[in-house]
Amino acid sequence: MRAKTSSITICQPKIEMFKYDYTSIPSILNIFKMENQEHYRKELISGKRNIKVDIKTWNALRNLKKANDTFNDVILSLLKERTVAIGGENLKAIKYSRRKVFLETEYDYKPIGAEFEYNDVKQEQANFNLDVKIKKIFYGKKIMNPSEFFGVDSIRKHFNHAFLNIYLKCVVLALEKEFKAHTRMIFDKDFENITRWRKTYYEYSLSEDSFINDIEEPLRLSEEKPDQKIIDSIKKSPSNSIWNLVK
Amino acid sequence: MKEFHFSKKYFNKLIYDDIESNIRIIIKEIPSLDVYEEDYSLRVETHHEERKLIHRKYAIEHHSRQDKHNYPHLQFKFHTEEIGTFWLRLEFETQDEYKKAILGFIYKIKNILEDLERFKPGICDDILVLTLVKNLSKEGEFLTQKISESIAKHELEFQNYGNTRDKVKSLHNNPLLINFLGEDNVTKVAASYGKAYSKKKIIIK
Repeated sequence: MRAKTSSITICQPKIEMFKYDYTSIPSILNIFKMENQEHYRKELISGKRNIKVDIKTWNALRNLKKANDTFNDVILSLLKERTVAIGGENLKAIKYSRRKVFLETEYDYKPIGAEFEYNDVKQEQANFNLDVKIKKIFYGKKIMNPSEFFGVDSIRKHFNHAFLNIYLKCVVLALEKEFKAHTRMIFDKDFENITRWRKTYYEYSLSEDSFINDIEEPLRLSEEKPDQKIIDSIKKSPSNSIWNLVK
Repeated sequence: MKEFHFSKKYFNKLIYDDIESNIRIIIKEIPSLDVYEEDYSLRVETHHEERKLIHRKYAIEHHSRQDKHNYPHLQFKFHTEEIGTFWLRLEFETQDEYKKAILGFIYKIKNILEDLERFKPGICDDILVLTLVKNLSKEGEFLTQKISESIAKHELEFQNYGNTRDKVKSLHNNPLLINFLGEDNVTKVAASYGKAYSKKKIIIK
């Protein structure tokens, strides 16, 4: 089936006849004043071009548009994201696409499923961040957002032991898929052992950045004491009624 | 963490099933504490009989994972009235604006349920916490304003089958939708579809 395309109409460079107040014309190339007439001929330096895009691409570009943006602005910002220059030094901003994976696992002998995403790191072993985000939780007969199930949002996952554990299991799966890295972690307590993680990252020469951001930080923060609002939110969550995480 | 969970406060029940009047109402919310990372959805479905079976669905939602409609939008499914599905994109500056629009949606749902009172008196009070919902009129106006802005900036998008002009006409003849969207807004939609159906153009300056 032929893909739907959107055809684009673009202004071609052309000679335009305009009526100007001579005194207010900016300095543009090739301006002529016709004798006894107020018409001027101006050759437009057109920067406009035609592109043909399919409907899906058009919709994707339209969705990226902010309130006063043009399509030109959207395309320019996408191009800019590829490299950023700061004060003479070039910083390469890497924009990853996201991979979506499903994990079927258990926590404290109760089966649970998680649909999660991570950066498609394309075997860049030495330099990556996974940025694992759990998108949906599957438990019993229901599918829920993780924040509803665990009672906290993703940046506070370390406050809920079950959330942290499932997150770390997702990281294990991502490392297996991307780098065939076998962590040999089996029991729930293995996943909260930073020594085991460090050993895995050494054995497979994995990114130091990923170790710090994907593993070390959430484990370290899990020692932090949450405020009462967070404790109450976890208490009311389905995860607490299943695993009795908060007394 | 901003909590997007409104059904527990504004609805007495999420399923209303009255066999006698053959009215069924279903409210389904996917709540979230993290709308930047997660989906959010509040959907209301009504079934009732009026010369024929009428089945309508209303939603305010966004889907973070899909290519299409991954921004906040209103969705209407009016298949039994030959309008089909249509969407209206909504733009918010902040999460608080999004919340305000959802409350405005709940207020407009009150009007939808009030329409069913002629078949089942007391249904509105049964389903909604009316003492709270009645105070959401400002939020209702806010949502109407957002709808107006959206119609001016983006098209009201119909699902891609059937004759769009017929659907617009049916929209214009549906008092419930006129009440929900706002009469001026429906007139603007009809006017926008009255022009030649535009090709999708991108002009790169």
